[in-house]
Amino acid sequence: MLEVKNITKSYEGKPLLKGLSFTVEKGQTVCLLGASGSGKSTLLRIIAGIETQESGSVLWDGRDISQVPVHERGFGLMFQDYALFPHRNVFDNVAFGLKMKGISHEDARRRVNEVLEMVSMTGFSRRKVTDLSGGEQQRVALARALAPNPKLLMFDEPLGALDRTLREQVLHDLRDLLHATHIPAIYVTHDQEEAFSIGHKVILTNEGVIVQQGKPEEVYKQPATAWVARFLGQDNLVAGVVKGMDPVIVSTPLGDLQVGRSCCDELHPGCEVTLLIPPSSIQPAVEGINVVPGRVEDVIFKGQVNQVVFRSGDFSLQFASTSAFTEGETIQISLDPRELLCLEKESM
Amino acid sequence: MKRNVLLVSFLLGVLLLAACKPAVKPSGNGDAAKPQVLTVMTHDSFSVSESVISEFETQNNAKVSFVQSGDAGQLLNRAILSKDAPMADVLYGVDNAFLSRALAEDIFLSYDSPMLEQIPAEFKLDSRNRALPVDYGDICINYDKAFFAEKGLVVPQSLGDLAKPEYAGLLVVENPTTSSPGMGFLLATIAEFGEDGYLEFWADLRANGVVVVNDWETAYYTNFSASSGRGSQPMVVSYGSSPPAEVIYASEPLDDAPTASLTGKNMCYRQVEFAGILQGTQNRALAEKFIDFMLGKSFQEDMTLQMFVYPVNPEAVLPDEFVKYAQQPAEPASLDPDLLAANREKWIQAWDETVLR
Amino acid sequence: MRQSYGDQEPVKLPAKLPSSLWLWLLPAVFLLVFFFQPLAAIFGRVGNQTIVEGIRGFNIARIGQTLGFTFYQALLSMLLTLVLGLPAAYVFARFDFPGKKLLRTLTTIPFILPTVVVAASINTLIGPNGWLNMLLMRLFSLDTAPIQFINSLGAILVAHVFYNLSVVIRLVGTAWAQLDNRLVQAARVLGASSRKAFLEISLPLLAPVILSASMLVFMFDFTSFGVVLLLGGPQNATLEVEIYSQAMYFLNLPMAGALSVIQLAVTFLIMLVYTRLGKKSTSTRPQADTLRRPASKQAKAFVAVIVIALVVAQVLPLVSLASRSFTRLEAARGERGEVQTGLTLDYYRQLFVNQRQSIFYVPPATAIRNSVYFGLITVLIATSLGTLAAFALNKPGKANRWMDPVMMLPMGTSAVTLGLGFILVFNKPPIDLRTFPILLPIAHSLVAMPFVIRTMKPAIASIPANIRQAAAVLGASPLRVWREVDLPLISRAVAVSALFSFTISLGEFGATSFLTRPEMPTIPVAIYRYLSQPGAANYGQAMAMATILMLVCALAVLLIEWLDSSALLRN
Repeated sequence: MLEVKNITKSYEGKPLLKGLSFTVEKGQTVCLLGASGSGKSTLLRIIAGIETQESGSVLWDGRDISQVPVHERGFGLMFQDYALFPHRNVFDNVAFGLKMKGISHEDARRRVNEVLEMVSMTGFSRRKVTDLSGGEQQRVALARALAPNPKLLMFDEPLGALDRTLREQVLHDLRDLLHATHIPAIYVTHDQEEAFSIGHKVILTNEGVIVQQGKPEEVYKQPATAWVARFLGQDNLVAGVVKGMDPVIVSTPLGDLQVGRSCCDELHPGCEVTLLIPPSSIQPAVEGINVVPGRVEDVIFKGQVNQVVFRSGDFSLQFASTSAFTEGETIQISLDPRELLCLEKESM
Repeated sequence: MKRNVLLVSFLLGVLLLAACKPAVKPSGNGDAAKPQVLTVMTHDSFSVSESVISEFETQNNAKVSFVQSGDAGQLLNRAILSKDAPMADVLYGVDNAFLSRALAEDIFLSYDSPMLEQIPAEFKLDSRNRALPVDYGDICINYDKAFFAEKGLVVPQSLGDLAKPEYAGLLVVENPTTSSPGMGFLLATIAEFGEDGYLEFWADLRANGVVVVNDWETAYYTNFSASSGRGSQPMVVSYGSSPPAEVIYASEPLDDAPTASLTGKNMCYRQVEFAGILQGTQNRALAEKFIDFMLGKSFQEDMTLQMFVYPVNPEAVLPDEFVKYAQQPAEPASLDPDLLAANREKWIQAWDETVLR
Repeated sequence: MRQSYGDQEPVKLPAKLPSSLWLWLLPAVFLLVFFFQPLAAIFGRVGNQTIVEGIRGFNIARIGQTLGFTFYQALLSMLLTLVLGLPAAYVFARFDFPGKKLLRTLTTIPFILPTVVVAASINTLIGPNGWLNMLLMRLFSLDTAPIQFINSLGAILVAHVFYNLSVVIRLVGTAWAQLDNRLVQAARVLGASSRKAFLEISLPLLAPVILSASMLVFMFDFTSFGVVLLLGGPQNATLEVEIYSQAMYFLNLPMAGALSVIQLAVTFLIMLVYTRLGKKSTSTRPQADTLRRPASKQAKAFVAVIVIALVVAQVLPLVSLASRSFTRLEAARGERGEVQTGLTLDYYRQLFVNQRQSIFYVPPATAIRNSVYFGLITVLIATSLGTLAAFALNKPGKANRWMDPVMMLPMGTSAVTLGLGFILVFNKPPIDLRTFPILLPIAHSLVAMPFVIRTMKPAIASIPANIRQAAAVLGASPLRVWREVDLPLISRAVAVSALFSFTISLGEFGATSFLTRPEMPTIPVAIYRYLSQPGAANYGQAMAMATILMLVCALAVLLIEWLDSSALLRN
């Protein structure tokens, strides 16, 4: 449906987007995930037509819409902080898009009530938007974007201004709503949890390029680069050198480790890599392959499990465990080779 | 931080500058008796040479301080409003149009100056010598000599001529409700056509395209064609002394004045300016001396080029430019002061209705 | 939302008096002594002589006509100012283009020029002898000027637009720049064309500030005196012109007084509405990325058209005046014929020569020094008192509803009446017109104070209460809080107020011409002295002096701009 091709854009002379391409299929929710300031919002504004790209094109159903002015694109965009019209009440905010479409007053009223019900805001239509709470404003903004039946919905950090508990609730509702309405959507966020729970597809951007895209679990399980791993909160990364092939042996400060997975094809002895050690690969063990001796540096209570900080020499690893450890205890852990992942050497 | 330093130093600078008020001329000598201060209030057009004033100051061990108070109307208002606690000892600058009002408000003390002997009777309009004539000038129509020469047009010979079609749109006059020359010219037309006839004349002038503006500056510099303004009207109500001023203040030396005055019978209105000693003065003796001084030869001669007016004292010698370029009307218009006092407002209003509405 | 730290226990002040009363003390006394006292004196005199007597024999219909015309021209001028001002405000708020800063500076200068100079500027451009007419006359060999514009309603309108455009650009432009532009984008995404988005979103949101700018412009136009007198011609008299001629030429003080009461009442009503509107603030948030170079063809064309219009309306008259001070324009040797033009520095040279040996000769350096001196005293008085009043107005209290418009009154009061009031009241020690050295800057301060209050009030209001509270919790006394928190945060607004007061004092002439002391002539006084004498040299010197005044004003405005922008960078 939507195809974004090679979009570039610079801001104050510095390149911000360096040729991004991706597609959004029918009924699909695509999450753009990346650090703040990485140009995700700008990309969204280019798709919406608020800004123009320097090169590349935006296609809808195969037709280039780059020259179509913003108000004729028929997309919906929900702004960060919502951008509700402060001089209009809830009803008039939601009805705005319908009014612009020239829809009759009666039909507009019906539709407004419909979408207000959808976002559980029935009965709020005469309220001033400035008197609403953050969560209520968020719902009104959503209703406003939904009302004119947009061909595509876009969300720019829509939960950024909400507190944690409200966030989970809203996220859940939003997910249901998007999956129920089958409106294709692009969802911009810097929060991986949000992205994973709402997106059919996650697109990770960094420094103006797409680093990785795919289904949430694929991306999480198989980060393409050390940056992705770190961005997704997987901090157990260690530098190493390939020592042998079949099986792949990587020499690291933790000792020589056997590695079952690799993201790069041309692995050869002597090549420098970064090794990802997922917490799930770590088991306390006395013997087996990839056994690393060390001691428990810290134990953090996390409810059902304990977060264990394990130190071996200069290097520390974190993993979750149900077993009880005490600080200072000397233990051995084993790293499951099937879960260890060789990544390209982290440039830094 | 840097900005704060800047702000503080700015404010300090303000304080410093405010503290050291600029010196107002080196004031006098520390010797002997302290000079007596005489305050003279005048209109803004008043001017005098420094040397002449210091002559008076040394003769009388006095210091003359001038208070300028706007135009003639503002000056008189100020004097009237402050008559209970006068701001000055002497007032200069009431003209014959306002004289009756000044006398009615009783702001002046009588002073029979010995100098009055030398002054022709025609200028002495106050029999009790409360207001003493100092200078006179004629409000005349100035015309652009080159324009009339080029067009082969004869200049108007009388006020009545101005309504003739050949002068259509060629005259600019000032509004008498906002300008003294405008007022003077209106009085000239009343003197010429009488109380019954002047409005008819003005109606004719209006039909003939007379241009009315609010002030002399606009009339002269914007509308008049021979001034440096280069406007559209070759005739302007100004002063008989404007042509010599054009020569003296030309930006390039001129051989001849570019303008001249129309001086036919009743075409000019004679404006006499008066000085008087203000009621309530604490320096009466010195004030009298200053009045005498104003009527004396050196002040009277200095005045001509300072203010472009004629001295009332016949002993004063006129400068060359005046003799050469200023024309004096043989029969200037004049009106009976009492008639003027009684009807001034009525005339102006009737004029306003006829010409402006 | 905002809480006043003043509600906390004052340390040194008696507990029973609200602290706002103490803040009011100085500004209120100042206004009572130097504004209400003189006005009351005049109105008292009106009462003595009975208004009826003064009005008798005077055509009531004419008063109605004058009042009607005053309203009419003010309304028309205001609308015209908006027509050009709003697009200009938009361009300044949303676009970045080369020369923007310079253009902004230049468009501000007319606002602070004395009326004599404004009239001269317009005359040198489109007067019968202005550059445009001379050009047309030469091109088509005409004998008379084809554009006869002066002394018409049109000239008044042009002058008023010239004067007040910067009010709209500054007020509306600032609000527009701060207007959350995502609101417009949201509307656009929802299907609104740019025109629709303007009508449905920007316009209603900017309405309060547009209205309050209009009110201000209307009031300036309503009380306009100098330009109407000099450019409007005798047919077009405003109330203020009528007051002037009633007082000065008919010597009919009761009538003048009665008319001033009408004018004061209208001013008060306008100010009441204006200060009320000021309270409604539009939803704004700091915008970092709103300034763009115009990208599309339409945007480029639009910016170009507006910039050209601004240059023609605001800059050309200034340039035209300045160029006149360098140009000799007269027929040689008293002959008519081709106008001989030539460039010259003579007028500037002559400024330094006391040609008449007059005791009243003003060397330009002295005039500038005196102007600067009075300007600085005005800065001291107006900024300190205005800041106190602004603090008081930011405290909760019912009285502020009325105090706010009252503080604005001097801006729209008949200068002629106030001047006469000064004469009536200040004639004996300790405040004697003749000897009291700072009466002139005091009069300037009356005019400047409302501007200071308007600048300071929002700046003070924007200090977040929690910063003050934080300081108080950390152990700062109220006075200390003021010194450590409020003062540093408002320092930029203080600087802008100071410069505004300075430039207002520099250009103020009409109201206070008869308060000037001959031994300390200011630049406007010097201009007027040259202009009241015939002769090409006098005219040229007046233009030269006016050019000098413009330069001094431009320097001051540049300084304001610099303070403004460097403060922005710091944020």
